[in-house]
Amino acid sequence: MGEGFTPRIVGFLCNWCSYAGADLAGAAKLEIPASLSVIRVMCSGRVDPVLVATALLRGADGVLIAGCHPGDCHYREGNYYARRRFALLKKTLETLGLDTKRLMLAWVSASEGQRFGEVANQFAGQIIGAGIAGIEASLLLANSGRKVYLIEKTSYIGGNVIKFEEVFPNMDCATCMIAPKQQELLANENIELLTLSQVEAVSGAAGDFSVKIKQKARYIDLVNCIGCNACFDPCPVEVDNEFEEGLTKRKAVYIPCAGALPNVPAIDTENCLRFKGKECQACQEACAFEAIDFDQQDKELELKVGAIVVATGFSMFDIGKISQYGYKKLGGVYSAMEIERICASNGPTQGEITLQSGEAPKSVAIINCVGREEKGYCSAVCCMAALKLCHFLKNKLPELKITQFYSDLCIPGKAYQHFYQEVKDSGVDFIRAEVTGISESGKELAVKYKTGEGKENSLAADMVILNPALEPGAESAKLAGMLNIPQSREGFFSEKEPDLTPVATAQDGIFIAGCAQGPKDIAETIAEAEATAGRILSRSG
Amino acid sequence: MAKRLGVYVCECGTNIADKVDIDKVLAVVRSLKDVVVADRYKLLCSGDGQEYLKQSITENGLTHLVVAACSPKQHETTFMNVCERAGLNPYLFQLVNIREQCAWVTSDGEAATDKAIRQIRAAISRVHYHTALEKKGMECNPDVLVIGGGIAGIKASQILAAPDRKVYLVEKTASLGGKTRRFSKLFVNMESGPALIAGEIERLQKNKNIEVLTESEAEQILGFLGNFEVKVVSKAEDKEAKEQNFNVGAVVLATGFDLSDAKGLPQYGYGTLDDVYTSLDFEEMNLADGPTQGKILLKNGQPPKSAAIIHCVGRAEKGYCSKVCCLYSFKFDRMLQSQLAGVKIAHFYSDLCIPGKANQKFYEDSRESGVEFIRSAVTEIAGGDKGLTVKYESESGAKGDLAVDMVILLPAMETSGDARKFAEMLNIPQDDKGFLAEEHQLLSPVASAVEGVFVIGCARGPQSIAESIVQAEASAGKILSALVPGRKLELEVKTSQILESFCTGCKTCLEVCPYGAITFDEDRQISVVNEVLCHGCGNCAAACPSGAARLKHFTFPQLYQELKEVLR
Repeated sequence: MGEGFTPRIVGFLCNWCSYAGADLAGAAKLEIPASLSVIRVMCSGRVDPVLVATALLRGADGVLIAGCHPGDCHYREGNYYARRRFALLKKTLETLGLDTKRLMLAWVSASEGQRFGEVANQFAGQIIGAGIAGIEASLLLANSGRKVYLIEKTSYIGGNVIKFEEVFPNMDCATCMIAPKQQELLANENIELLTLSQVEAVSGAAGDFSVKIKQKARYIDLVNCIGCNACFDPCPVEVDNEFEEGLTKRKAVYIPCAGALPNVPAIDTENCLRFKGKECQACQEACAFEAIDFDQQDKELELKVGAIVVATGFSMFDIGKISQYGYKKLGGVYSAMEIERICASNGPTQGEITLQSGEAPKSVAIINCVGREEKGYCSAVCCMAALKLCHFLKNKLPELKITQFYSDLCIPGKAYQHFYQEVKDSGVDFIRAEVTGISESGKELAVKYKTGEGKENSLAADMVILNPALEPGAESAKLAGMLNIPQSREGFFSEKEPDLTPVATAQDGIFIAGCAQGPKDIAETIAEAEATAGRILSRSG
Repeated sequence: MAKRLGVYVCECGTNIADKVDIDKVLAVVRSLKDVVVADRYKLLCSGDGQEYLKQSITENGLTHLVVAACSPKQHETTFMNVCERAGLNPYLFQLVNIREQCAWVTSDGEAATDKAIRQIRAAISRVHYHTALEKKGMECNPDVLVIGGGIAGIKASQILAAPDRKVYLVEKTASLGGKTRRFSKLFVNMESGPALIAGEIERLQKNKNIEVLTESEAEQILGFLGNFEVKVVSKAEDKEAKEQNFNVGAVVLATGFDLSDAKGLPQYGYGTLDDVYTSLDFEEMNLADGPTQGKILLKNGQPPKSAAIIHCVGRAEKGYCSKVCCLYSFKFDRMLQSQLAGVKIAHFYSDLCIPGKANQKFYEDSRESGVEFIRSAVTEIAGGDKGLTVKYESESGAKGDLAVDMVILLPAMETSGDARKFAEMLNIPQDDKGFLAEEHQLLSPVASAVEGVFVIGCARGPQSIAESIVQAEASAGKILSALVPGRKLELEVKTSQILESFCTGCKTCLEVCPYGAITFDEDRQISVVNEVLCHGCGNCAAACPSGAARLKHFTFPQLYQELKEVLR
């Protein structure tokens, strides 16, 4: 094989994860070898050895099979069969004298555009040398035949779940997991999605509510825009990206992150030069599709509906209120959400775990229950989220030393204790103590803590992750007032009868689901969303 | 009939046109067999573009359509709809991705053009082998079978029942209400369990759409979503067994929990020492119709002056936290304190599990009322002349003991014994702890791996009444959304088929199907795909050694044509 040899590769990509990952690589304009030809299949398990053999016989220099990560298969276990078949195929080909480096099996998730790029390029190289309570409730109601209006404050769907790279307890890829639901939502004719929209007023009663909505203009036409992102580069304005917890910048015309849906940007009028009175139309000039329309206006809509579901999610306790933790003051001190974004393959560091210096940390301290005393409740999911971070970080950086500080381990339910044990066995230390302060100590941080017996101690760490309490979403009080439903002492929306009607409120026809109702995990959130659909569709009176 | 293919290349504004030499592509395409028209267009997904395509299909009498544009994930549905509007079967169409996976990822224009030509040729060859596929619907039965008459089963029945949807509620024992009926108080707000259940039973009796079958068990359930055949046997004491057969569209399993056997842990003295009780024993004691008429008494007939509550009994052995015990232990504090003035209570626990907005306060109220919380592991409950002694060891290793009159153990919760029977009957997996498994732990918490069968309440894991009620309502949400009376169930179009003449009866496909959609026909000695359950993954097609299993729209000849052309 001499110079100028371009290996011809056939890639069998599964429809749900790897094909989507390949598309994402496209959206990100990565360079993929032109000699890689793609054949789409529904499941990597569809690829039978004869197809692979045929490809090789017809002159393919390499065959790539890509599917969902094990455990994430859209058809539950298809990729396990692919894996087994592949192992046997490799052995068989080896016996026949074929170079098995010409075969590759890769797991590429829908959010791993970067990784698809790497796999595709690596393979060629190898030869010479891929917000959920509302979504769930909407889908169930729409599929039964009801018309649904889905009101979303931001410009994108998926809420907080799409910020996580992996979720407990099975380390599922969060974006892959909900991608099919998001796509189903966007394609469903019974669902009218209203982004950049908020409720202004509500009147009426169950069966006949009148809801006034204010929809802010996006300034980009949802039909004309094809999501090519050409408008970003020319924009002269750079601001902190809130989705990325301020760890990176975005433009005034922006999409919060790669893969966000709908794949159409919005203009942030608070920072856009034009909307602040200056001359600029750089984005419009760069758009080949006449998709940018500065003349769009905010809209007021009045919707008539029979029932309302509140699924406004959560926000996080403001860690800055606990000044002794040094948040936003000391380098190396991060919030859990910042770390989630750092872990994300579509995040500010493409999943590379580094300190501000650019180096990987050698030791990490995770502080749980931040804000618990101030808020007066246990946020239910943080212990598990911290364990997930341990699992993820240890996988990325096997030599990393992790210490968790906690008060009570909250790991309820059948699946979670096993996960805890696994993390513990991987060498993570657990110290039951109250963390009294974090300070700088040379190049490292010093975590000062007090155990139950009153003994004071200190631990050195490169990086500290603060795990804060979950609070109700920012607009909850206003919304509760408009809907005339009480809030609990903690600010969450209240159930009608706390122990017996968890998703119903004091107002007939108005339901609550997910973290709007109280801190909880994804499974409980989905169950509550489905329960609101059950109540709405029920005709039992 | 002669094939007439139309091929259209979308410029996608500048996104494709700037990189791919579309005229060169068209020149190649026009020379191919059966291609009667090939052209380019600025933006095919636009309103005008779609109209243009529709016209073209009609004017050119196209029998097949190939569009080269963006990803099928973007616009496959869009163009399939165009075909339908033009009277062309939407499956006689192929969308080629020359944007995300070609123009956008190949900086060299020549290489991009070559790749586009290869992929388009692949699609053209493939589409020759497409067959028209029709949408399918199936009549379904909207009725529901609910197994288990506890709070979860009761709530599910009430919310599901309607004049056009009958619910059969089957309960093994003589009375409805499950465990909840035997809890004199419920946390956090101390409602009365028996009163709650009595109210629910009254509502059930008035509901003409719910048939309650007590002292009954489902003995056989065959079929699938939309069409289950059920056999229920009712056997009241001293009466003859009665059999009932009926059809339903969905099954909800709500078989509840049992406490794990504390006798298996001799260090706690349960069953050997007097005055060591489990939580369920203590609940019974507090009921007006219980063994002591609702009075909290020791074996000697006297009220206890002190009690120890031992958390996490059996937790290490079972390997999970039972979630609700900490909370109901604080309920026990209130029950003890309201009856026995000045009673001293001590909790022995490892970690407090009190998630959720309201629960920390519930705990703090207990603590503030003088209840002691000792974080420790209990090594032994010892008996003696002066009553019981709780021997414990704190986390630091310090040993201690406490003398008490009464000990209440909080054992782990397990799925009830009946779960296994239904797991086997319905082919639902049980997880390694014995609980009935959900379809997907996060995304599908109440559906099971078997379509049309739902698992709710403690049958699927330890949880509170509130959570069980949420799941009951959630299962209703899923059933009400999918099985609408009078509406046919829409089925997957691209399903697998097994050709009788090729099938050798090796049953390999049965093993690989993730949905149990393939059964073996003993008479014909061949495998048969149930198109209702088939999700179209193609694993059977890949595994079949004789090529009998074929996945519609992803058959071997179709994929072979693609392979052949991309490797040209």
